[in-house]
Amino acid sequence: MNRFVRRLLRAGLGDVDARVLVSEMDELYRRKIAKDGQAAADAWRRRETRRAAIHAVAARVRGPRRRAERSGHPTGGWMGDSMLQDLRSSVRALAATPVVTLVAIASLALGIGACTGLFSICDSLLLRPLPVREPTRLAALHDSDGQSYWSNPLWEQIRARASLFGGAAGSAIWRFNASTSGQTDLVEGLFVSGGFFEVLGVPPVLGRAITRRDDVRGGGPDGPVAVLNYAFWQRRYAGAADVIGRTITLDRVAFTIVGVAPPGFFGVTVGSTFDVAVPLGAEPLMRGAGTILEEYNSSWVNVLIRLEPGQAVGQATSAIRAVQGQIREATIPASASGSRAKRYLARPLEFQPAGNGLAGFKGFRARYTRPILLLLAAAGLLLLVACANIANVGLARATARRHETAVRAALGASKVRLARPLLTESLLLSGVGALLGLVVARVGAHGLVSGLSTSTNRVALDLALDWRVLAFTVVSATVTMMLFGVGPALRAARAHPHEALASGGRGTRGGDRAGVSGALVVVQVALSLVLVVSAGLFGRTLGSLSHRDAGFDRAPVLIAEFERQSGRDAGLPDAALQQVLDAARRVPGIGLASASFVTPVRGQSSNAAVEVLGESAPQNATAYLNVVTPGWFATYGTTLVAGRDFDDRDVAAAPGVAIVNRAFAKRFLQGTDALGHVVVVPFRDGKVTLTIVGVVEDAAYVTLRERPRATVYRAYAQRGPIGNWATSVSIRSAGPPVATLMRPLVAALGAVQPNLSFTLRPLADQVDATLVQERLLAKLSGFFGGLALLLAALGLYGVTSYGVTRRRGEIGIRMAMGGTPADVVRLVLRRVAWLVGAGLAAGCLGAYWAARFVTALLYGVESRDPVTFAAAAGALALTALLAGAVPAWRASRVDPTTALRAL
Amino acid sequence: MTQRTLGDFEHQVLLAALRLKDEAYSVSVVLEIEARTGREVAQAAVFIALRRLEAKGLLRSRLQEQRDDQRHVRRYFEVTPPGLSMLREMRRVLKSLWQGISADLEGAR
Repeated sequence: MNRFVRRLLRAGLGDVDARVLVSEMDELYRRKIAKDGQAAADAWRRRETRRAAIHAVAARVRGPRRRAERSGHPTGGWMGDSMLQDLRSSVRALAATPVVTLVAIASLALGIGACTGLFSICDSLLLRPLPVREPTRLAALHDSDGQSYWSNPLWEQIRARASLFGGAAGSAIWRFNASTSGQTDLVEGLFVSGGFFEVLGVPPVLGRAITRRDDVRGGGPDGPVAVLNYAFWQRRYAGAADVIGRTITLDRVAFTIVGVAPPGFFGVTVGSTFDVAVPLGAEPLMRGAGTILEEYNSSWVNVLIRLEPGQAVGQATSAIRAVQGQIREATIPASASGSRAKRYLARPLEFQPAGNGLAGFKGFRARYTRPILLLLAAAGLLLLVACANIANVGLARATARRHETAVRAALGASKVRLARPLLTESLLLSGVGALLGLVVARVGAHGLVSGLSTSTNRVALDLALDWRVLAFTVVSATVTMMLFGVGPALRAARAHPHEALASGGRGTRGGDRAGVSGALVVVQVALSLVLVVSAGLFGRTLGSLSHRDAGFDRAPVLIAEFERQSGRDAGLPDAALQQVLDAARRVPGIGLASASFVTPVRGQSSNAAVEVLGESAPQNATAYLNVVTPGWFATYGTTLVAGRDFDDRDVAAAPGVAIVNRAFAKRFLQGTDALGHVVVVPFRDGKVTLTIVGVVEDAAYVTLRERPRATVYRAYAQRGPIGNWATSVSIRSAGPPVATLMRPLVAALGAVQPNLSFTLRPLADQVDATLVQERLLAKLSGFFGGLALLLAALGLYGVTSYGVTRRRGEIGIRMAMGGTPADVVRLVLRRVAWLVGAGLAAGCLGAYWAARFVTALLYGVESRDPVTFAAAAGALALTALLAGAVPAWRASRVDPTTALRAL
Repeated sequence: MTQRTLGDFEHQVLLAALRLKDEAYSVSVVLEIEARTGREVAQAAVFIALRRLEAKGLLRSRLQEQRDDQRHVRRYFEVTPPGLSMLREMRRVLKSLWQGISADLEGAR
C-alpha cells in the first residue's frame, strides 16, 4: 500500500483506525492468497486499496466533525495540526519559487524599512521625550510670537525668579573653535547656566556638573570649566577616565574639564547636539569686548523651567505674567523707543511644554517635519505598491494550489484550516520583511540624518530604537500582511470540494482571479504614478535651484572663514587681512582674493531699516547689509551695472560710500538712477550716511530660494565696528579646479599668521549645504519613484504572463484559424493598455489631488506642472509596455498544435 | 444519537456482527457477508460502516493487539442492547411489509 493511500487513510480515519484497517486488510489478503491463489489475491488487493482510499475520503467528507466531537480531538488532520508544520510547509512552498520570494521579501524590506526609518526620524523629531528626568515637567519660555530666544539679561531676570517654579535653566548653542592655530577645529558648543544639568536631572557620569558658582563673569573659583558630551569624550579622549582636570582650549580660552555628561544627552534642542558645555558666564572671556552677555538686543538664550510637582504649564504662565512688567522693564533694549518699546513691554510671556525638546534655531523641527512626513507618506505608497505585487503572487499561488486546497476541503478541513497555509506564508513573508526592514531602517535613517549635516551645520538626531519605532514596525508589518495575505487566503477558504473531483483542476475559476489581479495592477500603476510625479517635481525643484542663476559664480570660488577676533570688532584687523589677501593671491592658480563679512548663502544675514535721503521710504524699508573689500564683486563674478566698485580711495577717512544692488534701486528709488543718492544705514557706530557710487546685479544672499532683496554694501575699510561678524576671505581660481587649490591655500594662509585659525571650503559646498532639504526630497522621492516603477512593471509582467498562460488555448485557436503573431501581440497588449490606461487616469487624479501638499516645497515648477505629469505618465507607460511586451511576444510564439493539445 | 432506520449495507453489517458474536471484526464480517450474499464487498467500507454503527451506539468495539511477529491489530465489535432492539425493530418492520406478498412474487417469476 503506497504512502499516499496510507496518508489518505490516516486523514480519513485517524491514526489508530488507519493502522487497524491496514493490518486487517493484510490479514484478509493472506487469507485470499490461501483461498484464491496469489494472482487473484493481488488483483483483489489492488482493487481494495483503491476502494479504501475512496471510502476514507468519503468518510471524511461525511462526518469529520461528528467523529472529532466523539473522540474529543480537534478537527484537524491533514499532515498534523501544529503551527510548526504549517510554518515548515510554508518555508518549503516559498523556497520552491526563490526568485518570486526574494523579490517579495526585498520589496517588503525596502517598503517597511523606508517607512520605519522615516518614522524613527519623525519619532526623534516630534515624539521622543528628552533624555532627562521627568521630561513632561519641562516648559520653555516663549512669547506670543512663538519666539523662544532671549537676551541674557532677560534670562537673568527669570533666573532671579526661579523659585516661582521648580527651577530654571538657560542654554545657548554656539560653535567653538578648539584649535589654537591653522585650520579651525570647530566643535559644537553649548553655553549653559549654572545648575542646568541639575534642573534637567542629568547627573554627569564622570566628575561634576556646572554649578551656580561656575556661572559667573570670568569664571568661578575653579576658573573657566567645561563639561564634555559623552560621545565627544569617547571620540576625542577615547573615554579616558583622567580627562577630569585636563584643559581644552575653546576660542583661545583654556577651560578645565570637570565632568562628562551621561550617554545620549544631547542638550535640549532637537536636531542638534553639543560637544562641550561651558557656563554662560564664560562668554565674555571668549568674546572679549564683543560680548553679548550684557546685550539687551541679542536674543540667543533658550530658557527652560522645571514645573513644581502638580504645577500646570498654565499656572507657570500666570506666575510669569504676574512679574512680566518688571522683567520687561528691566530688559528693554536701549535702541527700542516709541512704539517698538511699547510693543516690547506689552508682548506677553508664556510657557509651552518642552518635554520633547526645543524646535531649534530656524525651526529645524518645523523645516524638516513636513518633508519627512511627505517622504513617510511616499514610503507608505511604495509599501502599498509592494503589497499589491505580493497579493498578486499570493493569488497566483492560491490558484495554483486550487486542486490541493479542494482536496483538503474534501477531506473536511475547515475554512480557517484551508486559509492557514497561505496566511502562514504571508506571515512569514511580512515577518522576514519586517526584520530586514528594521536593518534597512537603521542604516537608512542614519545615512539620511548624516546626509542632512553639512559643512556649516551638523545635524544630530537620536535614532535609537524605542518602543514607538518597534510598535510602528510591527503594525506596518501586520497591516501589510493583511493587505497582501487576506485576499489569497479568502480565496483558499472559498475552495469547494467539487474542484477536487474536476480532473487536473484546470481552468474553472481563473476568471475572477484575473479580475482581481487586474484591479491590483491598476492600483499599482496609479500609486506609482503619484510617486513618479512627486519624484519629478522634487527633481526639477533641485535642478532649477542648483542651476539657478544666483547672481554669482559658484564653481571657481573658495571661502576662508576666519575665526572671530576678540575686541569690539570681530573682523580681521586691516593689516592682517592685507597679508592674508596677498598670500592668497600669491598661490599659483589663484585669480582674485577679497574679503567680506557675509558670504553668499552662508545662512547668515544682517539687515536693518534704511532710508534714502530725499525719498519717501517704502513700507517696512529694510535691506540686507554687507561689508566688502574692493574686488569682491569681481571675485564672485557679480556684474557691476552702473558706477564703480570700491577702490583705494575709499579709506576710513574718506567720505562714506555704498554700493547697492538692482533690487535696492527698484525698491527704494523706483528704478531710477541710484548713483549719487545718499543712503542712511544704522551700523554699530550709529547711523551712517553713505553715498551710492555703484549698482550691482542682484545676487542670492541667505538662500537660493528667496527673491532678490534690496542690499547695501559698505566698504570694508570704512566698516567701523561690526560686532560679531567674522571676516571671510573669498578667493577665485584663475582656472584650476578649486579642489586642487585647497591644500596650497591652507598652507599659504596658515603661514601668514600662525595664530589665526580659519575654515576653508569651496563656495559650491556652501551652496550645496543650502539645498540639503531639496536634495533629500529629490533623492528619496526619486528612489521611491524608481522602485515603484520597477514593482509596477513586475506586477504587470506577472499578471500579463498569467493571462497569456490562461489563454493559451484561445491563442492557439486564433493562430490555428489564421491569426498572425502580430494579432496575438495586439490582443495581449490591448489588455495591458487598458490596465495601464486606467491606472494612469486614476494616478493623475491622485497626483493632482496630492499636489497641494508639496507646493510649499517646490521651486521653479508648478505642483501641477503638466510637463512633469506627462513625463511621469510617459515613463510609466513605456515601462508598462516593456513589461507587457515580453509575455506578448511569448504568446505570439505559441505553437497552435501544442496549445490545442493541452486543451 | 440513535437513528431510526439503517441503510441496507449497515443492516447487513450489523446482522453479520450479531451472527459472529465476539469474533466480529472487518475480516470476519467481510467473509461472512461474501459467503452469505455471494457478492464482494470492500473491506474499508465494512470497517467504516462498523465504526459508523458504533458512532450510532449500535455497536461497541475494543482494540486487540495480536501477539504475533507482525504486530497485527484488530478491532472487535459487539452488538449493544440498542443494536439488538434496532435489529428487532427492523425485523418487525420488514416482516410486516412482507406479510402476504410472497405468492405474488413467486407468480411474477
